[in-house]
Amino acid sequence: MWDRYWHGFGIHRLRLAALRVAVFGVLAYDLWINFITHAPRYGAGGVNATQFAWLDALAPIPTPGIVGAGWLLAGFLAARAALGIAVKASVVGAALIYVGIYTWNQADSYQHHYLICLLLIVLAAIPGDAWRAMAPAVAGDGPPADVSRTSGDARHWSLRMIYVSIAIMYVWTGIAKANAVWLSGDTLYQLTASPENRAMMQGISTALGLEGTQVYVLAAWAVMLGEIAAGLFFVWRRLWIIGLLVVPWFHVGVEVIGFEIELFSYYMIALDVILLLPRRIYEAADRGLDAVRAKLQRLAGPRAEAPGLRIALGLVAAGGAAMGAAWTPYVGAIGLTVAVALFSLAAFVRPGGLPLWRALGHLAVGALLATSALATDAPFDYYRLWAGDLKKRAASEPALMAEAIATYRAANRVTTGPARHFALGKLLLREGKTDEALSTFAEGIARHEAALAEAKTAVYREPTHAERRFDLAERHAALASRFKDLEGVMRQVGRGAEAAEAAKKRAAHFRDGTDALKEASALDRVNSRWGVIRRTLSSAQP
Amino acid sequence: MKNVAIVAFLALQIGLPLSYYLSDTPYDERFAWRMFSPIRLIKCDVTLFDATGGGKRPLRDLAEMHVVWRNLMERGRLPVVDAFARQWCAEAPDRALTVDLTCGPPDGRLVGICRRGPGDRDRDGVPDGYADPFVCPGDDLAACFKAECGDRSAQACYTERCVVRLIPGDRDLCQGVR
Repeated sequence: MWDRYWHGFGIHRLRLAALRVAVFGVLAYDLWINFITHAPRYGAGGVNATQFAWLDALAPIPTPGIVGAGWLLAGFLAARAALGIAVKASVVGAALIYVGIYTWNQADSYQHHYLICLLLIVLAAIPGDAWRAMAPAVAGDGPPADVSRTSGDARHWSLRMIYVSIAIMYVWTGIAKANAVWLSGDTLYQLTASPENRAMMQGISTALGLEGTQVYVLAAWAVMLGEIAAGLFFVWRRLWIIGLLVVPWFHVGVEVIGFEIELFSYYMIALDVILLLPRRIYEAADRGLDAVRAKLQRLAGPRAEAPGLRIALGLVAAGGAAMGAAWTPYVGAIGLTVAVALFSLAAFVRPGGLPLWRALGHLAVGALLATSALATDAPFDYYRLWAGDLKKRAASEPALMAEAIATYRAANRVTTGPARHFALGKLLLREGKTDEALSTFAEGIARHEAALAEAKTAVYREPTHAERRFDLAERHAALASRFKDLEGVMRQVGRGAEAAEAAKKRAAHFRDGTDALKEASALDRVNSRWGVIRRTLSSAQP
Repeated sequence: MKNVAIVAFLALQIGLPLSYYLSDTPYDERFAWRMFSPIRLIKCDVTLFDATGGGKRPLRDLAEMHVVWRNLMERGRLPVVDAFARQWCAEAPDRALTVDLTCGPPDGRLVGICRRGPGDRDRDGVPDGYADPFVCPGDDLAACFKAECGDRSAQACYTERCVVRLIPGDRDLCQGVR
């Protein structure tokens, strides 16, 4: 019974391939876009608490450079695994880095980071053979693509463990909710406090003919019982289909109420759907993919390869991927570049598979890594959060002031939009660098005005789009606030005329922002942005 | 060997959350899968004191600490308090550190006196938290208050039921981490 349950368990190889693409694709994105912005909190102020007390005495204080480079490298390995390149080595590498950093520090304490740790440990235990799926030749050194369908399911105890681990998690989440506080509905009431959510819950309540807070009590019981049942759905194959129809909705619901838990819902929706889909779907897809496989095989070039060709492709791949890493504007980029080059070269050491595909894959991952830094706000968030912490600590440690200024400069450099010029300018003023501070304030205002011009254009294009109107109100509010700051600064440095000019502009933006907010509210009366913009405007009121 | 790995991994996944329910530290919910837990809504009051030489001076360090660590302390995460103590106490050999760390009780959301404190802004003779339908579903707020607090004053009831001290205020944290 035990042996059959654990060691006789198999899943369609295409299911495992889908899992690989989804989990590691989302993980790469998560590490490159979300995690990296948290790196500066690691080791801040010389404080560190590991996940286990016995480790505290052994572990050194982490640094943003090491943690950031580690996450970017783990993302590189995850993206490579998603593409089916050197899967086993990539999964093990990503797992070691992710679990290692998680264990090193409690700073990222969302429970889903722990879930990803457990999943990565299980996924790292899957043998290399099992990963070869819809295009096994592409995956490295497996059998030809055309035998995958007849080679049977992927079988290993770790595949069963994926299901069991998720089941255990769901059951515990249900048990955690089996208490009077949750079942009273109060927690759900608090979590759905935004006007949109309250309106939605009221609508459900009316539709069901419920009174008062009954809808929250009902929802609380449904979630608790549903989560415990979800565990059952995962451990018994015959119930997968019921699970598919029920379980993903928990996570869809969490996204609908807008609860901020990073990408957890996306991980879970992907896991639920991929793991619980009926086998027939994968069999049909497998048949449909035969033609794609043949085409991929032709495009990817011959399997036979000369050692010289493999080495040349390896050097090109390593060079390209390393270039992508070198473009990232984070501390630790040099170490990251070297590590990416070495990991890339290692994928070409052994013959077999399709080296051209592997080379193209590495170039693509390198390009994606660079894009994640150059085309998103992640570097700006990384530096602005870091600078904010340094500024705060510089109040009692003046030696940190220079570092705070340099970090704010970096934050302003990595984005073209409104940034942290005012925060930087105030630090420069404190250091007696008045001219540089004033030019920094001017640059800050210029960026805000450029953003305002864009918001106006967007409203002109879509005059009935509420979000565009809220954007416009937000930009005016931001400028009113900046001009208020500027007014104070100008008075401080004895420039009365400039201060009066700033006061006029502050009043104008306050007026325009108030009007824009009214127009936006007329289009969408329950938008959660209203309160934030209103507060910004109020704080800048002339 | 494979079966040993399976059993060990299962034991880990069952044992870690179980240890939460068996322990007396309800505020540290790591590994316990308590998503959307009401404990996440509790904000503890934390003040650190430099008690070197027998005095008791509030530390500025808490305000200047990274917001992540401060937030974790305000959620009653004791290992973070220890981590801070390790770092702060190591700066000089004779330092002493105490902490005033108090939190609401885990079930405080459903206890009227804990929900909004002992205050009575609407002057109806009953602390304001009882006006919430999740706490006192009926109309007789005074009865709900009496059921929870008996004949005690609102302040006395609040102090007794709603203030959980996680670390004794006179314990020198430097003693534990040196």
